[in-house]
Amino acid sequence: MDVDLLNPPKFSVGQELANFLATCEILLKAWKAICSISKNREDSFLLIKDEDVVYVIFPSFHNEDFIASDSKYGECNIKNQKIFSAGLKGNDDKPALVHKGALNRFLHILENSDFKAKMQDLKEQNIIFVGHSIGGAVAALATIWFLEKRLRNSNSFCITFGAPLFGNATIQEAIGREDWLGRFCHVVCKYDIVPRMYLAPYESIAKPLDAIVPHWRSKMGIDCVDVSHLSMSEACMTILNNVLKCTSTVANNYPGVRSPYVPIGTYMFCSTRGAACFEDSEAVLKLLHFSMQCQEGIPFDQIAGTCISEHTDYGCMLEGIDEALLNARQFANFVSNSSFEIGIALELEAIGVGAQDNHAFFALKKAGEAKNEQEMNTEKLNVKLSKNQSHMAELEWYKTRCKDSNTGYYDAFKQHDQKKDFHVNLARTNLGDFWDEIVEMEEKHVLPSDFRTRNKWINAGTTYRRLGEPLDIAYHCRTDKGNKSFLSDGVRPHRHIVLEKWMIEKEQTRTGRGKRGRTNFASLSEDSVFWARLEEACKASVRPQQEEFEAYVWTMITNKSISVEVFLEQSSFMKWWQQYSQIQLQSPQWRSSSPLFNFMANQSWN
Amino acid sequence: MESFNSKVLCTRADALLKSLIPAVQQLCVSDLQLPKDQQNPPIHQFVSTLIRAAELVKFCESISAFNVFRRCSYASQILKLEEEIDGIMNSIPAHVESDARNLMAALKDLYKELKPPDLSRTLNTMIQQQMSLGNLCRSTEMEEANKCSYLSNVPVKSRFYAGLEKPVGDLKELLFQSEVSVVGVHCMGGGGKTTLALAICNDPHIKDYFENVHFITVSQSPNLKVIIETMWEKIVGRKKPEFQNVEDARIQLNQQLFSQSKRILMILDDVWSRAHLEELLIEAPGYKTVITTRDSSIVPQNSSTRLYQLPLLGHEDALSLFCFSAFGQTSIPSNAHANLVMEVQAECKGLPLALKVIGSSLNGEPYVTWSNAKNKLSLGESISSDHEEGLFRCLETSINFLDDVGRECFLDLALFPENKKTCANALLDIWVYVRKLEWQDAFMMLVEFARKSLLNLVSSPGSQATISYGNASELYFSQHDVMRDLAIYLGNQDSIVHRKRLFMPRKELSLPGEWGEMLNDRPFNAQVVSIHTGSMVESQWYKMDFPEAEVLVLHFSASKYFLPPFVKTMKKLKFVMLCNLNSKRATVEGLDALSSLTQLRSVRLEKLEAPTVLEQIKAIQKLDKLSLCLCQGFGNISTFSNTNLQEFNLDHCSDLEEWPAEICCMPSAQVWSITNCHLVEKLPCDLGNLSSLRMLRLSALPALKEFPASIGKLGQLEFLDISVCEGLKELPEEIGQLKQLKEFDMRECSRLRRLPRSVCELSSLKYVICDEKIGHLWLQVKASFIPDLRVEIVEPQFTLDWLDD
Repeated sequence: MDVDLLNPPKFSVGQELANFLATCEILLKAWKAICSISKNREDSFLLIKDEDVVYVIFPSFHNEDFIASDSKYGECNIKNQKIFSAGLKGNDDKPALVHKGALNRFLHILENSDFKAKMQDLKEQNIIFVGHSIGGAVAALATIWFLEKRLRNSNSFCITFGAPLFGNATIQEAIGREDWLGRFCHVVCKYDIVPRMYLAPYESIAKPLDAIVPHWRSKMGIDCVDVSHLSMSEACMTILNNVLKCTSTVANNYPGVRSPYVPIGTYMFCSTRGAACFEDSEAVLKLLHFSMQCQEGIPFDQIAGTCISEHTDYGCMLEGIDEALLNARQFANFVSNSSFEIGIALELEAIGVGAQDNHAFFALKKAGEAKNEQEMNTEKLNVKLSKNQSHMAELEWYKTRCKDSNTGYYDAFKQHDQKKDFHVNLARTNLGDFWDEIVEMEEKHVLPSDFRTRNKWINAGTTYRRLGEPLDIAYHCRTDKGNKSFLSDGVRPHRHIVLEKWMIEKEQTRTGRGKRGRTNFASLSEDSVFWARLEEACKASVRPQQEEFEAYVWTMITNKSISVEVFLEQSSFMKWWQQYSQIQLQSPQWRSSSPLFNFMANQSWN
Repeated sequence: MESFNSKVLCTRADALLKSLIPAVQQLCVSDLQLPKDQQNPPIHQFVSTLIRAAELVKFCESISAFNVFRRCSYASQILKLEEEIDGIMNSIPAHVESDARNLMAALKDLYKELKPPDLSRTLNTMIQQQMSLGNLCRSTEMEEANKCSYLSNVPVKSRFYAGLEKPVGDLKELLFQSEVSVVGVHCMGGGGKTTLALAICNDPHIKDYFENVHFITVSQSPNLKVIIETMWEKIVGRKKPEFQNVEDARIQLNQQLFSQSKRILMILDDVWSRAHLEELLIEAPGYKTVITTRDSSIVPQNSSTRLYQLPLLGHEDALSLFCFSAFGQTSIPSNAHANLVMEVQAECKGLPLALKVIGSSLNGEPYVTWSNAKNKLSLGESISSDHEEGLFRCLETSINFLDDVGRECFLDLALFPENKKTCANALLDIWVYVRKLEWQDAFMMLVEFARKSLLNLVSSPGSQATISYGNASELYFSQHDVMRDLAIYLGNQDSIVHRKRLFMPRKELSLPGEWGEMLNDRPFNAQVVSIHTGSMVESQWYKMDFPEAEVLVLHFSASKYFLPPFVKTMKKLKFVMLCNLNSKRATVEGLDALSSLTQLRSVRLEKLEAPTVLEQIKAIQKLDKLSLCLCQGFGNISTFSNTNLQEFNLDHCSDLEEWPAEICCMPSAQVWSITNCHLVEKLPCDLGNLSSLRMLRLSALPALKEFPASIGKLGQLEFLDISVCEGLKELPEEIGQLKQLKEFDMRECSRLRRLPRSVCELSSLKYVICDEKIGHLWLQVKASFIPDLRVEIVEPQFTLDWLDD
């Protein structure tokens, strides 16, 4: 007899998206731009202007870039290079890891070319960062770098072809938080080895790559080296074997050490039967494995060959894709009532995996359902938020009414001797439950990844925290028997800690725009735990702690982030001040040196 | 006007009885001749039943049609008779049977005519009537009731009343003259001064002309310092500095006004004395004051002041207001005696309050009552501002419809202070224990009073249901001060010692001097005593003797209070109410005096600190009802027990967390109401010991996590209210054992997502009120198990009424 039942998702649109991308020509234009990069520009990047779009192209191959040998999978902490913001970290502050080879290449370009200056000129334009192979990873890093500048009116996008995985779940989380995931589009051929390559540790791929990379370079027309056919095919077999071992571990969730890398952004899988796009990172990871599976009747060495050759064959593939997509609307032996499931089946057919592949099917179904659930949850919360506004209004009215009676609402609530105090306590608990629920949902990942950076929720949460937390503090002070401070561990409600963190993170991304100072005192003190600090200061027996509080109050006054209600006659703050100033006045220099004393004596808040 | 339907029915029943009784007696006689084993004893019973019926029908004939409460009690007796007759039906011969059936039908009709209207429904319609009255009067003002007017604290109320256009226009004309700075609006009480002042506040021209309009009620016993501080805050818009005294504040405010020189209108409502006014009048450019008062002489006479006598209503306006109160429409209805209506209306002399009160007192009354009222009114002195008595005489006719008991009940209303909403339970207790009414009758009286505009009732949603169980704790009443004055006037006819009621009309610092003058150890005759003071210490009380007192109502605003020592002399005391009006809780000493009062039936305590009397409550053997509101200090009470309590109310008790031991030793308790106690996490685990409980209210206990399993033992429980228990996640499976449960209120239990399977076994359940989520589950239960169930789904309602409680 449970009440909440989620509606199942209605559609899966991966194929339509692929269709759109394939027909809008930017993919083909981007690929052609890559092919045009000449050998002598290999160290740098290329700008091509086409109509109102600027393509920024990164070169494909550097032997040394492929292999970064300092760590098992070639990963390194992005923070070590100070070119990315501090905000590029996980929700739980874990470090963001990226592939060292790609990062170094990007740094190299940044330092040794006019990249920065050129980018400066590109303000207010549509930019597409493009890269093939390892250059794709560089292009992705460049896109992140550019997005973090948060230029207004500029529109950037990233297209890669056969790019390896370049970042871990943390960086994916950070990008998702900003709602940038949609700006990355990775085109992957069905058998192309490179996108899966870094799921295997570097030592298992380094050696074969030595043989294969020159082959690719000559294929792309960068070098003209002759590679022996025999060593090539052996290298192909080894690398495919090694990579397959790792992808199947990942796809089947076998225990063991996993590569840190995860797919970031939209992946467009292409095959001779069509193409489809997928967004869910976990599902893409599985598809990277399932789509490379050997098909019956095709010998292993032939597949190994395809794995290598497809990496440089994106041109042919893109040209044939229109036709393939036209033919891709059919599948065999699949019966379902759900348009959503049929959509998934079609997608699987289109990327050449086949609708019969249960593993792939369920991976996609699960991903679609999870995404749908996130959206539904957001909708529900929207409705709840607007319902809860009435509780917020109750709190506001209560605050106003208490102000009229010359006691701040904090102190009135702490005394708790009017019926309205009881009523507002109901509103307080209601709001607390509501935000607890949101925080819990966010932490359980059942909300969209950018939920906590949405202005609506940041603002609603901040207003709630500033208005509601003083009541939580008052409630704690009134009912707590253990004499525990509100600020000590485990007392302050988790929701407030989290909401404050969300706000701070958001503010960091806003710093570029500059923060205007206040001209009037805030209607709600910006520091929502002001009263808890006050209670601590009241209890504190040592002078330095009290003086620290004085300094803290004075900072709040100077940047006007304190509410004038604090200075109401009956407020706890005034009581503290009377006691404190009595003691301090015994030392004569305090009177002249304390700015707060002056302020309070002149009642300068009026 | 109203046909005496019940009389017709009585005659019919009487005729039937007259023909039936001889026939049955005949049967009896022949029955007795039969051998013993063939005799039919029910027949003999039947004779006596019928004779009782005949008596009852005679009584019914004699009661007046508008004595609602009397009718109720007869109705229930008739119902009982009818059931008895029905029980005998099987054992009587066929030729009598058809007659008996006719009789039953007749009795049934009579019962329907007399039957107590469904109490909660009565209340509902009454409140709706009140609301529609308000709506008609307000017309368009709702749209204007925006935040601005709230913020400047202008009460948003009645903007349009009959015949207000002209006075509003006149007053505006005066205010717009540049040389006028003070306008005194005067007329007698109930003349509509406040209504006019409110209309001025909301007038669009006034709002345009003045930058700010402020409304302040001064009243009979004002705290001038608080008022002038409020004025400062409203005018200056900043926090007030510390004023030494009223004079200082006035001077500073004056300076502020000079420097601001804004156009401000200040309305001082209900000013009583010149001394008060002088402290509050300020002259400054652009600043104007409107004063409303009953006494024009308090307004100083000079070139910048004007007096405006609010005229009584003209004929047409008076008639429409009167008709609205009497008939619910603004003109004389076609079926009414137009002349009589006009005559009665004319006796009200255009005084709005009189029109309204007398109009509603005659609402739905028969011709006789109307003509009686007309005669009484024309005999009395005419209404004029010089003679308050004239007004009272006029208003007195509005209570003529009351019998002696009803009149006593009306006079009891003056026990409670003006301008304060009081819980209806307090009043009902007095009427039950002292006036000896049945609870239902007392309640009907309350509703009747409200319908006749003798008092105003305010209810909160959900209160209707509890009324069927003899509890009106969510219902509050208040009175127009003139109606209260009337009650005091009528109650104060005798000398102090002989008065049946001893009231303090308004709050004073200590007891009135004249009470002390009567000392001489002469016992007071008062049955009802009401005292309203500030802080009291033991020595401030006079030595007084109240051997007859049955009701003691003590109001005070203080943080310390000593219970009057003369409480000990009140050996007959049945009802005590101790109510602190201060914003903080008070400590009361001398409470142990209560424990010597053996006759005490009901105790109500409001806003007190750790009532020590609770520990000694066992001594008061006869105590039926105990109510505590806004009290604190439960941590100090270790045991609490009174095995005789019938009703136990705890409301807004902020620190109730642990239950005192033995609290559930109340085998005869019928009503338990624990509401708004926010720290209560669990209920006493022996809750099931309350075996007689019919009503259990556990409303607004947000911390409550679970019910004790013993709740299943409450076999008599009919009404369960768990509304606004936000912490409750599930109901115990034992709830299915509540076989008598009829009504279940579970609004706003947002965490509650499922129902225990056992709810299907609640076969007596008739009515569930809940929110949408859980409502779907109840509808499923209804569909498959309890077809009679009525499920009402409500959304939480938001008001700001609670701000002013």
